[in-house]
Amino acid sequence: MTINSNIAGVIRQTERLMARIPVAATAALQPVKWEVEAANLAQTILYTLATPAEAQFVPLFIKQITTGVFEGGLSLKMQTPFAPLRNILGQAQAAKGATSNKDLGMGLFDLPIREFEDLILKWVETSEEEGGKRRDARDTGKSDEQIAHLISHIMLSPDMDRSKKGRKAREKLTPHIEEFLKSGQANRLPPATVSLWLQAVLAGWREMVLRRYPAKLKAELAATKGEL
Amino acid sequence: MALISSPVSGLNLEGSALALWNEFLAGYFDGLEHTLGLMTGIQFPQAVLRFQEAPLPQPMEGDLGISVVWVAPSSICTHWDTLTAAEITASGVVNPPLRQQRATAHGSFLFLIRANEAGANANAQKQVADGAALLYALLENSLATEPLSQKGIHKLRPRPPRLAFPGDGSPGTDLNYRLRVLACGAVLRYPVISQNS
Repeated sequence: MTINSNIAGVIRQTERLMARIPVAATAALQPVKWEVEAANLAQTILYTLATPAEAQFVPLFIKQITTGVFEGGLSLKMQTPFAPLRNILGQAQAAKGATSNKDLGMGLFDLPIREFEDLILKWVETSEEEGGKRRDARDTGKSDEQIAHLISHIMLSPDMDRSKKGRKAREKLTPHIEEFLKSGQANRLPPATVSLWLQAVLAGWREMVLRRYPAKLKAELAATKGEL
Repeated sequence: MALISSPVSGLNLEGSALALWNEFLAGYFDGLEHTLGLMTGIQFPQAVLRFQEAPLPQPMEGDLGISVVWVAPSSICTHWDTLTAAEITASGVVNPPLRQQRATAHGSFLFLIRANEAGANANAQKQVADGAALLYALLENSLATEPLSQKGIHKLRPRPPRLAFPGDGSPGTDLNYRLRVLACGAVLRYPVISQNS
Protein backbone atom coordinates (compact mmCIF):
# COMPACT_ATOMS: atom_id res chain seq x y z
CA MET A 1 0.00 0.00 0.00
CA THR A 2 1.30 3.44 -0.93
CA ILE A 3 0.31 6.53 0.93
CA ASN A 4 0.83 9.80 -0.94
CA SER A 5 0.76 13.15 0.76
CA ASN A 6 0.02 16.53 -0.79
CA ILE A 7 1.22 18.36 2.29
CA ALA A 8 4.11 19.88 0.40
CA GLY A 9 1.64 21.40 -2.06
CA VAL A 10 -0.57 22.66 0.75
CA ILE A 11 2.41 24.31 2.43
CA ARG A 12 3.48 25.89 -0.87
CA GLN A 13 -0.05 27.18 -1.43
CA THR A 14 -0.23 28.54 2.12
CA GLU A 15 3.11 30.29 1.72
CA ARG A 16 1.90 31.91 -1.50
CA LEU A 17 -1.30 33.00 0.21
CA MET A 18 0.66 34.47 3.12
CA ALA A 19 2.53 36.58 0.61
CA ARG A 20 -0.51 37.46 -1.48
CA ILE A 21 -3.06 38.37 1.19
CA PRO A 22 -1.27 41.51 2.47
CA VAL A 23 -0.82 42.68 -1.13
CA ALA A 24 -4.49 42.02 -1.92
CA ALA A 25 -5.56 43.67 1.35
CA THR A 26 -3.61 46.81 0.48
CA ALA A 27 -4.96 46.81 -3.06
CA ALA A 28 -8.55 46.46 -1.81
CA LEU A 29 -8.05 49.54 0.38
CA GLN A 30 -6.84 51.83 -2.39
CA PRO A 31 -8.75 55.12 -1.96
CA VAL A 32 -9.74 55.24 -5.63
CA LYS A 33 -11.81 52.09 -5.09
CA TRP A 34 -13.84 53.71 -2.32
CA GLU A 35 -14.18 57.42 -3.01
CA VAL A 36 -17.21 57.25 -5.32
CA GLU A 37 -19.09 54.82 -3.09
CA ALA A 38 -18.24 56.89 -0.01
CA ALA A 39 -19.48 60.10 -1.62
CA ASN A 40 -22.68 58.46 -2.87
CA LEU A 41 -23.53 57.00 0.50
CA ALA A 42 -22.71 60.26 2.32
CA GLN A 43 -24.93 62.16 -0.10
CA THR A 44 -27.84 59.77 0.44
CA ILE A 45 -27.50 59.96 4.23
CA LEU A 46 -27.26 63.75 4.29
CA TYR A 47 -30.20 64.30 1.97
CA THR A 48 -32.15 61.88 4.16
CA LEU A 49 -31.35 63.92 7.27
CA ALA A 50 -31.65 67.39 5.77
CA THR A 51 -34.81 69.41 5.98
CA PRO A 52 -35.71 71.22 2.73
CA ALA A 53 -34.03 74.37 4.07
CA GLU A 54 -30.87 72.46 5.03
CA ALA A 55 -30.54 70.55 1.74
CA GLN A 56 -28.59 73.46 0.17
CA PHE A 57 -25.64 72.61 2.46
CA VAL A 58 -25.32 68.96 1.41
CA PRO A 59 -23.13 69.62 -1.68
CA LEU A 60 -20.79 71.71 0.51
CA PHE A 61 -20.29 68.72 2.81
CA ILE A 62 -19.79 66.32 -0.12
CA LYS A 63 -17.05 68.60 -1.49
CA GLN A 64 -15.21 68.21 1.81
CA ILE A 65 -14.78 64.44 1.41
CA THR A 66 -11.19 63.31 1.04
CA THR A 67 -9.79 59.81 0.77
CA GLY A 68 -6.25 58.71 1.46
CA VAL A 69 -3.98 56.08 2.88
CA PHE A 70 -3.65 56.05 6.63
CA GLU A 71 -1.03 53.79 8.29
CA GLY A 72 -1.46 51.17 5.59
CA GLY A 73 -5.24 51.41 5.75
CA LEU A 74 -7.93 53.49 4.15
CA SER A 75 -8.77 56.99 5.34
CA LEU A 76 -12.18 58.47 4.55
CA LYS A 77 -12.63 61.99 5.82
CA MET A 78 -15.42 64.54 5.74
CA GLN A 79 -15.19 67.78 7.66
CA THR A 80 -17.44 70.75 8.18
CA PRO A 81 -17.44 73.19 5.27
CA PHE A 82 -18.00 76.09 7.67
CA ALA A 83 -15.04 78.07 8.94
CA PRO A 84 -15.05 78.66 12.71
CA LEU A 85 -16.98 81.74 13.82
CA ARG A 86 -14.42 84.45 14.42
CA ASN A 87 -14.24 88.06 15.33
CA ILE A 88 -12.76 89.21 12.00
CA LEU A 89 -12.86 92.90 12.93
CA GLY A 90 -11.17 92.39 16.31
CA GLN A 91 -8.47 90.18 14.83
CA ALA A 92 -7.77 92.63 12.02
CA GLN A 93 -7.48 95.58 14.47
CA ALA A 94 -5.12 93.60 16.68
CA ALA A 95 -3.03 92.61 13.68
CA LYS A 96 -2.87 96.20 12.45
CA GLY A 97 -1.73 97.34 15.87
CA ALA A 98 0.96 94.66 15.90
CA THR A 99 2.35 95.91 12.60
CA SER A 100 3.07 99.30 14.22
CA ASN A 101 0.67 101.02 11.88
CA LYS A 102 2.72 100.22 8.80
CA ASP A 103 0.86 99.65 5.60
CA LEU A 104 3.15 96.92 4.39
CA GLY A 105 2.14 93.32 5.11
CA MET A 106 3.94 91.73 8.05
CA GLY A 107 3.64 88.02 7.25
CA LEU A 108 1.68 86.44 10.08
CA PHE A 109 -0.36 89.61 10.68
CA ASP A 110 -1.02 90.21 7.00
CA LEU A 111 -3.75 87.59 6.60
CA PRO A 112 -6.40 88.92 9.03
CA ILE A 113 -5.92 92.45 7.66
CA ARG A 114 -6.33 91.30 4.07
CA GLU A 115 -9.34 89.21 5.07
CA PHE A 116 -10.94 92.27 6.68
CA GLU A 117 -10.20 94.46 3.67
CA ASP A 118 -11.80 91.87 1.38
CA LEU A 119 -14.84 91.80 3.64
CA ILE A 120 -15.17 95.59 3.51
CA LEU A 121 -14.88 95.56 -0.27
CA LYS A 122 -17.62 92.95 -0.39
CA TRP A 123 -19.76 95.12 1.92
CA VAL A 124 -19.28 98.12 -0.36
CA GLU A 125 -20.06 96.09 -3.48
CA THR A 126 -23.24 94.58 -1.98
CA SER A 127 -26.47 96.49 -2.53
CA GLU A 128 -28.06 98.23 0.45
CA GLU A 129 -31.15 95.97 0.21
CA GLU A 130 -28.93 92.95 0.72
CA GLY A 131 -27.16 94.43 3.74
CA GLY A 132 -24.45 96.33 1.86
CA LYS A 133 -23.18 99.85 2.54
CA ARG A 134 -25.57 102.74 2.11
CA ARG A 135 -24.09 105.19 -0.41
CA ASP A 136 -24.05 108.90 0.44
CA ALA A 137 -22.60 112.13 -0.92
CA ARG A 138 -19.12 111.32 0.43
CA ASP A 139 -18.93 108.28 -1.83
CA THR A 140 -19.72 110.22 -5.01
CA GLY A 141 -17.00 109.93 -7.63
CA LYS A 142 -15.13 107.19 -5.76
CA SER A 143 -14.71 103.61 -6.95
CA ASP A 144 -15.72 100.69 -4.72
CA GLU A 145 -12.03 99.99 -4.07
CA GLN A 146 -11.36 103.58 -2.99
CA ILE A 147 -14.35 103.57 -0.63
CA ALA A 148 -13.33 100.21 0.83
CA HIS A 149 -9.74 101.37 1.29
CA LEU A 150 -10.88 104.47 3.20
CA ILE A 151 -13.22 102.48 5.44
CA SER A 152 -10.51 99.91 6.14
CA HIS A 153 -8.17 102.73 7.14
CA ILE A 154 -10.81 104.23 9.46
CA MET A 155 -11.55 100.89 11.09
CA LEU A 156 -8.00 99.57 11.44
CA SER A 157 -5.57 102.43 11.74
CA PRO A 158 -4.49 103.10 15.36
CA ASP A 159 -4.19 106.81 14.42
CA MET A 160 -7.94 106.98 13.90
CA ASP A 161 -8.46 105.62 17.41
CA ARG A 162 -6.46 108.53 18.84
CA SER A 163 -8.54 111.30 17.26
CA LYS A 164 -12.08 112.22 18.34
CA LYS A 165 -13.23 112.43 14.73
CA GLY A 166 -11.73 109.07 13.95
CA ARG A 167 -13.36 107.39 16.94
CA LYS A 168 -16.74 108.86 16.01
CA ALA A 169 -16.46 107.62 12.41
CA ARG A 170 -15.46 104.19 13.67
CA GLU A 171 -18.38 104.04 16.12
CA LYS A 172 -20.81 104.84 13.32
CA LEU A 173 -19.42 102.23 10.96
CA THR A 174 -18.93 99.36 13.42
CA PRO A 175 -22.57 98.22 13.89
CA HIS A 176 -23.19 98.14 10.13
CA ILE A 177 -20.04 96.15 9.43
CA GLU A 178 -20.75 93.75 12.28
CA GLU A 179 -24.27 93.20 11.00
CA PHE A 180 -22.95 92.42 7.51
CA LEU A 181 -20.37 90.09 9.03
CA LYS A 182 -23.04 88.26 11.02
CA SER A 183 -25.33 87.90 8.02
CA GLY A 184 -22.48 86.28 6.09
CA GLN A 185 -21.81 83.88 8.93
CA ALA A 186 -25.49 83.19 9.59
CA ASN A 187 -25.90 81.12 6.45
CA ARG A 188 -24.66 77.97 8.11
CA LEU A 189 -25.88 74.99 10.07
CA PRO A 190 -25.86 74.92 13.88
CA PRO A 191 -22.77 73.14 15.27
CA ALA A 192 -24.89 70.33 16.73
CA THR A 193 -26.44 69.61 13.34
CA VAL A 194 -22.98 69.60 11.74
CA SER A 195 -21.80 67.16 14.40
CA LEU A 196 -24.86 64.98 13.88
CA TRP A 197 -24.44 64.91 10.10
CA LEU A 198 -20.76 64.00 10.38
CA GLN A 199 -21.47 61.23 12.87
CA ALA A 200 -24.29 59.81 10.76
CA VAL A 201 -22.02 59.66 7.70
CA LEU A 202 -19.31 58.06 9.83
CA ALA A 203 -21.80 55.37 10.91
CA GLY A 204 -22.74 54.78 7.29
CA TRP A 205 -19.13 54.55 6.13
CA ARG A 206 -18.34 52.12 8.93
CA GLU A 207 -21.14 49.87 7.74
CA MET A 208 -20.06 50.27 4.11
CA VAL A 209 -16.46 49.27 4.81
CA LEU A 210 -17.48 46.36 7.05
CA ARG A 211 -19.82 44.98 4.41
CA ARG A 212 -17.83 45.69 1.28
CA TYR A 213 -14.25 45.11 2.31
CA PRO A 214 -14.50 41.27 2.39
CA ALA A 215 -15.96 41.27 -1.13
CA LYS A 216 -13.27 43.64 -2.42
CA LEU A 217 -10.53 41.55 -0.78
CA LYS A 218 -11.99 38.40 -2.32
CA ALA A 219 -12.04 40.08 -5.74
CA GLU A 220 -8.39 41.13 -5.39
CA LEU A 221 -7.39 37.58 -4.43
CA ALA A 222 -9.42 36.17 -7.31
CA ALA A 223 -7.61 38.52 -9.68
CA THR A 224 -4.28 36.93 -8.68
CA LYS A 225 -5.65 33.40 -8.54
CA GLY A 226 -3.68 32.32 -11.60
CA GLU A 227 -0.46 33.29 -9.88
CA LEU A 228 -1.13 31.23 -6.75
CA MET B 1 -47.66 38.57 9.35
CA ALA B 2 -47.48 37.61 5.67
CA LEU B 3 -46.20 40.29 3.30
CA ILE B 4 -48.05 40.97 0.06
CA SER B 5 -45.29 42.97 -1.64
CA SER B 6 -43.40 41.25 -4.45
CA PRO B 7 -40.27 39.30 -3.50
CA VAL B 8 -36.80 40.73 -3.96
CA SER B 9 -36.18 40.95 -7.68
CA GLY B 10 -33.14 41.47 -9.86
CA LEU B 11 -35.27 43.75 -12.04
CA ASN B 12 -35.36 46.32 -9.23
CA LEU B 13 -33.18 45.14 -6.40
CA GLU B 14 -33.20 48.35 -4.38
CA GLY B 15 -36.85 49.18 -4.98
CA SER B 16 -38.17 45.68 -4.28
CA ALA B 17 -36.16 45.38 -1.05
CA LEU B 18 -37.27 48.80 0.19
CA ALA B 19 -40.91 48.07 -0.65
CA LEU B 20 -40.70 44.96 1.53
CA TRP B 21 -39.16 47.00 4.35
CA ASN B 22 -41.93 49.56 4.01
CA GLU B 23 -44.67 46.96 4.38
CA PHE B 24 -42.86 45.11 7.15
CA LEU B 25 -42.07 48.17 9.29
CA ALA B 26 -45.51 49.73 8.71
CA GLY B 27 -47.01 46.54 10.12
CA TYR B 28 -45.25 47.12 13.45
CA PHE B 29 -44.71 50.85 13.90
CA ASP B 30 -48.39 51.75 13.88
CA GLY B 31 -48.95 52.73 17.51
CA LEU B 32 -50.52 49.40 18.42
CA GLU B 33 -49.56 46.30 20.40
CA HIS B 34 -47.89 43.47 18.49
CA THR B 35 -46.49 40.01 19.00
CA LEU B 36 -42.73 39.93 18.75
CA GLY B 37 -41.59 36.35 18.20
CA LEU B 38 -43.36 34.58 21.07
CA MET B 39 -43.78 37.71 23.20
CA THR B 40 -47.23 39.22 23.07
CA GLY B 41 -48.54 42.67 23.91
CA ILE B 42 -45.46 44.67 22.91
CA GLN B 43 -46.45 48.30 22.44
CA PHE B 44 -44.93 49.85 19.31
CA PRO B 45 -44.91 53.60 18.64
CA GLN B 46 -46.35 55.06 15.47
CA ALA B 47 -43.65 56.09 13.01
CA VAL B 48 -43.44 57.95 9.73
CA LEU B 49 -41.44 55.80 7.30
CA ARG B 50 -39.24 57.21 4.57
CA PHE B 51 -36.79 55.59 2.16
CA GLN B 52 -33.52 56.81 0.67
CA GLU B 53 -33.44 60.60 0.26
CA ALA B 54 -37.18 61.15 0.76
CA PRO B 55 -37.42 63.85 3.46
CA LEU B 56 -39.55 63.47 6.56
CA PRO B 57 -42.55 65.82 6.71
CA GLN B 58 -41.67 69.05 8.53
CA PRO B 59 -42.34 69.98 11.23
CA MET B 60 -42.36 66.50 12.73
CA GLU B 61 -44.72 67.54 15.53
CA GLY B 62 -43.72 64.79 17.94
CA ASP B 63 -43.78 61.97 15.39
CA LEU B 64 -41.14 59.28 15.34
CA GLY B 65 -39.46 59.11 11.95
CA ILE B 66 -37.62 56.10 10.54
CA SER B 67 -35.64 56.62 7.34
CA VAL B 68 -34.15 53.58 5.64
CA VAL B 69 -30.98 54.00 3.58
CA TRP B 70 -29.74 51.14 1.39
CA VAL B 71 -26.01 50.40 1.41
CA ALA B 72 -25.66 48.61 -1.91
CA PRO B 73 -23.54 45.45 -2.16
CA SER B 74 -20.22 45.71 -3.98
CA SER B 75 -20.73 42.41 -5.79
CA ILE B 76 -23.45 39.83 -6.40
CA CYS B 77 -22.69 36.11 -6.61
CA THR B 78 -24.75 33.56 -8.54
CA HIS B 79 -25.05 29.81 -8.29
CA TRP B 80 -27.30 27.12 -9.80
CA ASP B 81 -30.30 26.11 -7.73
CA THR B 82 -33.79 24.65 -7.95
CA LEU B 83 -36.66 27.14 -7.83
CA THR B 84 -39.47 26.81 -5.31
CA ALA B 85 -43.13 26.86 -6.31
CA ALA B 86 -43.50 30.35 -4.82
CA GLU B 87 -40.56 31.64 -6.85
CA ILE B 88 -41.98 30.18 -10.07
CA THR B 89 -45.32 31.89 -9.39
CA ALA B 90 -43.66 35.19 -8.51
CA SER B 91 -41.49 35.15 -11.65
CA GLY B 92 -44.54 35.29 -13.92
CA VAL B 93 -42.87 32.91 -16.37
CA VAL B 94 -45.03 29.93 -17.43
CA ASN B 95 -43.42 26.57 -16.63
CA PRO B 96 -39.78 27.61 -16.57
CA PRO B 97 -37.17 24.90 -15.95
CA LEU B 98 -36.70 24.46 -12.22
CA ARG B 99 -32.92 24.70 -12.50
CA GLN B 100 -32.07 28.37 -12.66
CA GLN B 101 -29.43 30.68 -11.29
CA ARG B 102 -29.89 32.20 -7.88
CA ALA B 103 -28.23 35.52 -7.03
CA THR B 104 -26.93 36.37 -3.57
CA ALA B 105 -26.08 39.89 -2.50
CA HIS B 106 -24.56 40.88 0.84
CA GLY B 107 -25.90 44.35 1.48
CA SER B 108 -26.98 46.33 4.48
CA PHE B 109 -29.48 48.94 5.56
CA LEU B 110 -29.13 52.01 7.74
CA PHE B 111 -32.11 52.98 9.86
CA LEU B 112 -32.08 56.64 10.89
CA ILE B 113 -34.49 57.01 13.79
CA ARG B 114 -35.52 60.58 14.59
CA ALA B 115 -37.93 62.57 16.73
CA ASN B 116 -38.55 66.27 17.09
CA GLU B 117 -37.69 67.82 20.45
CA ALA B 118 -40.21 70.62 19.99
CA GLY B 119 -43.13 68.33 19.18
CA ALA B 120 -45.96 67.12 21.35
CA ASN B 121 -43.69 64.55 22.94
CA ALA B 122 -41.47 66.50 25.32
CA ASN B 123 -38.83 63.79 25.60
CA ALA B 124 -37.70 63.17 22.05
CA GLN B 125 -34.51 61.51 23.20
CA LYS B 126 -36.46 58.80 25.04
CA GLN B 127 -38.81 58.46 22.09
CA VAL B 128 -35.85 57.85 19.77
CA ALA B 129 -34.09 55.51 22.19
CA ASP B 130 -37.25 53.42 22.69
CA GLY B 131 -37.96 53.31 18.96
CA ALA B 132 -34.39 52.24 18.16
CA ALA B 133 -34.46 49.57 20.88
CA LEU B 134 -37.73 48.11 19.59
CA LEU B 135 -36.45 48.13 16.01
CA TYR B 136 -33.32 46.30 17.11
CA ALA B 137 -35.42 43.73 19.01
CA LEU B 138 -37.63 43.27 15.97
CA LEU B 139 -34.74 42.76 13.54
CA GLU B 140 -32.88 40.28 15.72
CA ASN B 141 -35.97 38.11 16.17
CA SER B 142 -35.85 35.49 13.43
CA LEU B 143 -39.50 34.48 13.93
CA ALA B 144 -40.65 38.07 13.53
CA THR B 145 -38.51 38.61 10.43
CA GLU B 146 -39.52 35.33 8.78
CA PRO B 147 -41.93 37.13 6.39
CA LEU B 148 -38.95 39.11 5.05
CA SER B 149 -36.95 35.92 4.69
CA GLN B 150 -39.78 34.33 2.69
CA LYS B 151 -39.54 37.23 0.27
CA GLY B 152 -35.76 37.14 -0.18
CA ILE B 153 -34.32 39.28 2.65
CA HIS B 154 -32.34 36.84 4.79
CA LYS B 155 -29.84 36.75 7.64
CA LEU B 156 -30.59 40.09 9.23
CA ARG B 157 -27.72 41.12 11.50
CA PRO B 158 -28.58 44.36 13.31
CA ARG B 159 -25.94 46.25 15.27
CA PRO B 160 -27.10 47.92 18.49
CA PRO B 161 -27.69 51.66 17.94
CA ARG B 162 -24.85 52.64 20.23
CA LEU B 163 -23.60 55.90 18.75
CA ALA B 164 -23.88 58.88 21.07
CA PHE B 165 -25.48 61.76 19.25
CA PRO B 166 -26.35 65.17 20.65
CA GLY B 167 -28.85 64.55 23.40
CA ASP B 168 -27.04 61.49 24.73
CA GLY B 169 -25.44 63.59 27.43
CA SER B 170 -23.38 65.73 25.09
CA PRO B 171 -24.08 69.43 24.53
CA GLY B 172 -26.36 70.06 21.60
CA THR B 173 -29.21 72.12 22.88
CA ASP B 174 -29.57 74.07 19.66
CA LEU B 175 -30.60 70.94 17.78
CA ASN B 176 -34.31 70.52 17.37
CA TYR B 177 -34.33 66.78 16.86
CA ARG B 178 -32.71 63.61 18.14
CA LEU B 179 -31.24 60.83 16.07
CA ARG B 180 -29.97 57.29 16.43
CA VAL B 181 -28.52 55.15 13.67
CA LEU B 182 -29.03 51.41 13.52
CA ALA B 183 -27.11 49.43 10.88
CA CYS B 184 -28.32 46.02 9.80
CA GLY B 185 -26.54 43.57 7.51
CA ALA B 186 -28.69 41.42 5.23
CA VAL B 187 -28.38 38.83 2.52
CA LEU B 188 -30.68 39.31 -0.47
CA ARG B 189 -31.50 36.28 -2.61
CA TYR B 190 -33.48 36.17 -5.82
CA PRO B 191 -33.74 33.87 -8.85
CA VAL B 192 -32.36 34.85 -12.23
CA ILE B 193 -34.74 33.26 -14.74
CA SER B 194 -32.59 32.74 -17.81
CA GLN B 195 -32.85 29.09 -18.88
CA ASN B 196 -35.24 27.73 -21.49
CA SER B 197 -36.74 24.29 -21.19
